[in-house]
Amino acid sequence: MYSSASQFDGNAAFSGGGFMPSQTTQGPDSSFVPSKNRDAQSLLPLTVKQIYDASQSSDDKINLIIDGVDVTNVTLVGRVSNKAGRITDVTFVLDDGTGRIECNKWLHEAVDTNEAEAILEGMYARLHGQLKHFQGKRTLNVFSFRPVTDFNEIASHFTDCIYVHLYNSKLRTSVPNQQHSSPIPPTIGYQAQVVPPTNQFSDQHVNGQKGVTVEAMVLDFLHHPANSSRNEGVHRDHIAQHLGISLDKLMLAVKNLIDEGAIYETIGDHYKSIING
Amino acid sequence: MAAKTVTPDAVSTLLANPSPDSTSDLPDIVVQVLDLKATGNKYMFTANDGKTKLKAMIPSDMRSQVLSGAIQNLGLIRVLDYTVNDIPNKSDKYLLAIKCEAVSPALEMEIKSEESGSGILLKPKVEGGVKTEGAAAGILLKPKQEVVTKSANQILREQHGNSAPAARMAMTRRVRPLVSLNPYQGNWTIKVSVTSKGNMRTYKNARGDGCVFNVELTDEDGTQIQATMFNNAARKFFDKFVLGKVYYISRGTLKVANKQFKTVQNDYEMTLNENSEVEEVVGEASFVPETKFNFVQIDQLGPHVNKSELVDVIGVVKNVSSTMSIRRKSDNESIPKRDITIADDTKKTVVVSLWNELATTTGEELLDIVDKSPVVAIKSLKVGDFQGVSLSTIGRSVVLVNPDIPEAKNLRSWYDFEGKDAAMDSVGSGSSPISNNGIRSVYTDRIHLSDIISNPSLGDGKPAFFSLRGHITFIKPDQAMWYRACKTCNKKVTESFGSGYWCDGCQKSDEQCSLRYIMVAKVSDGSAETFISVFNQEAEKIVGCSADDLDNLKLQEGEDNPYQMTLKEATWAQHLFRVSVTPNEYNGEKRQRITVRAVVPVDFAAESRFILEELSKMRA
Repeated sequence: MYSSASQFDGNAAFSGGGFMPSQTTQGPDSSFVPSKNRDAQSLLPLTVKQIYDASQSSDDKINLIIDGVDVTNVTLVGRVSNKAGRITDVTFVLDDGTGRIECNKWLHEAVDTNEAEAILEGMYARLHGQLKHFQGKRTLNVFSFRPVTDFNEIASHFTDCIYVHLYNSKLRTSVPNQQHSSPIPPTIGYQAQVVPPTNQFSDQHVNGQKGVTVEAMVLDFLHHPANSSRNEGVHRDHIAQHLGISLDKLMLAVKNLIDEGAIYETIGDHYKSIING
Repeated sequence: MAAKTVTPDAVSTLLANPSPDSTSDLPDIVVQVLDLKATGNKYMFTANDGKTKLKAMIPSDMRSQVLSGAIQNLGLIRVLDYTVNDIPNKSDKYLLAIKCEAVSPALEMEIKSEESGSGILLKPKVEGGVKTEGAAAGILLKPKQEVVTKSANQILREQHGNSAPAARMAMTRRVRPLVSLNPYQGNWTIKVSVTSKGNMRTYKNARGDGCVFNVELTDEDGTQIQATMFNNAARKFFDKFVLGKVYYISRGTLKVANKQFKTVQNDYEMTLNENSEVEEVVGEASFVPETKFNFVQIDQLGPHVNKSELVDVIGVVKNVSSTMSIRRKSDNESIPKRDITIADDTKKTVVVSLWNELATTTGEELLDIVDKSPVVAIKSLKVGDFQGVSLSTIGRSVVLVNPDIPEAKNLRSWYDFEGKDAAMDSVGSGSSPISNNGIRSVYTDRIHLSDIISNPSLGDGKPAFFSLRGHITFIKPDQAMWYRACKTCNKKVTESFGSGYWCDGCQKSDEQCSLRYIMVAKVSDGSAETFISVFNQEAEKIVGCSADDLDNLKLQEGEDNPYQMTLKEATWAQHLFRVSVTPNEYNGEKRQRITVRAVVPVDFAAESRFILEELSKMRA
């Protein structure tokens, strides 16, 4: 809550101010050749919260890093508010429910003006643009923003954010088929005490059990009243899914537990604790 | 006869006259059928007259009466023509019932003559061990006949009059509901009706040849379970199980249902073997569960393409094809097939392929009434990607014509008022134009751009096809966007000296030509950005107008510059693409040529479902 208020205050402090993006020469029309030193550019679907949670990359002070990926072009979906137009540009705030971000669109040609006029206050719009980070403030230089006509697009966008987030997070982990919290990326410059993004799909039980053996986890799970009362036992896939571990790891633990005599196999691939067995 | 019963001493009559002349007048011979079972294409049974039994056979030409259920185990038949033969190497004889007819369906139990009323005279005969005079024997027979007749009549009366025996059976056997069964229970008996019966199938594995079939059983509560029978059990019970009849079943084996082959909603499945007990309950109405549908609308079928789960659909029949014969590759057997086209209130159509009996019987029915635009509800369809999206029936699909369900009424109402004249569009159109390359649905083979870019040798030898979703990020305005094409064959033309255009393909000159796109654009997704080559049909969908129209816009110089405006409006739009990838060499450097084969607008609802599915897989 404090963080959210801080963001809002930051926006309020700078809204209407004299700050301009430093790269005014880079418009949507420029045949800008991406730098050879950088990876191929992508177009990341993001939420505003992801943008504010992003950390600064070490080698380049301009770009931000989200899920270990350099962020250049982004796409967002949200409601347009605080729209203010001038001859040369339009500024507005985009609110997608996870936060608010200030946006700026330069009007180079008639098509830009037409596009800007099509967006009314309070409308949902899809934005494509470049993320700017200057003196601790994050803004979006908009290449394109268009009204949302199919409102399924809003839900689809958030689903897409989740998917790309998980996909990029998964790419970064060295162990395949295993998910764990992202390592804390290095903090540099104006960002202090950056909290890494929470993986909503991790099993909190697993994360809270660092140091506890897999055998103990399996045994705890099978001792659960709902599981111990089942005559046929619990299928191994169900155990692996619930504990968030791979099948190979699980079967190794199961083998150990069977050797100890703590659990036994009932029918094909189903296991049961000897307690109340 | 007014009363249906066995003929007294029928077996003795048969034995006394083993080879009757076909012209002779045969006495009335009615026997009860016991131990009926199939042997090859004949049926063996035991003929019972209440006192004596005789092995018997029904020849293959009378087989249809057994299959149709006219002749049943424990039923009565009248023998119209027969031969009694010796069994080789045995002292026994057997009856060959050359011609017979059914007299009665299955009785409650085996008929036995009662001897309690035979009177005082029988006792001395037994004690003495010596037969009395013939006259005395004649006298003794009369009371016995009367008793036997009563007994049979009583049995029949019980069968038709009341269900006392069934009730006693239920109490005696402790019939259990299906929901209470589990693999660790001891003896149990269930009372179920056969609500689905599969075909007898043969198979080969390491242990040799075998046969298998299964049935779906439903109890009075509506709980269902699948029962499977192999080899001897399959041969034993295949003819015993009749669709719609009710049975007591016990001594089966239960195991956890294999989810891969799951058919009914039950955690367990049953296996019956030779020792299992299956007994028909006569006179019981079948417990038919209401067919429950979980309809998918036709325009929502895209994400289900080539998935393992089956779907239910409902639609108005727009077209019924003739029956086709498709030869199956595995065993070179011809299978009948019929295609129907259905539509629903999403104004999309889809082709459903009906196979086997559904093609011949139900399909014929639909062909007869197609003018009346019947509504069909189909359960358990497989979704394929032929022509984008297509549906196929499987062995246990159910097709209901004009079903009495609310969805059918709603659809009928929509069709009568709106759908009849609506312009229908195939659900697969747009997602895959018909092409020699066999382009498939945009929901299969979905990949990320980085997967293409990171593999330079992709498409070596043979183009690789993929689906992807991306945004057009840039279209260079001053590129050579199109070429001049022949209006007939679409090939490139050259300007003639005089006037008009020369086409090498057609070998003629024409006053006019048309412009066709051949365009390069930049596309991005969440992982990467790259260039794509786009040809005329696909480019028109991206740009939003034809090349001729765009050329006209380009000629309009002015402050607004509509040419640039059109290209910019096409930029930053999101599409689903079907692409082919081939490696390319340019100035000694290896590159990829990514060619767009199909462009489809993004259906955000379907896309959300697709991504959620991918998320589920990712978590696993």
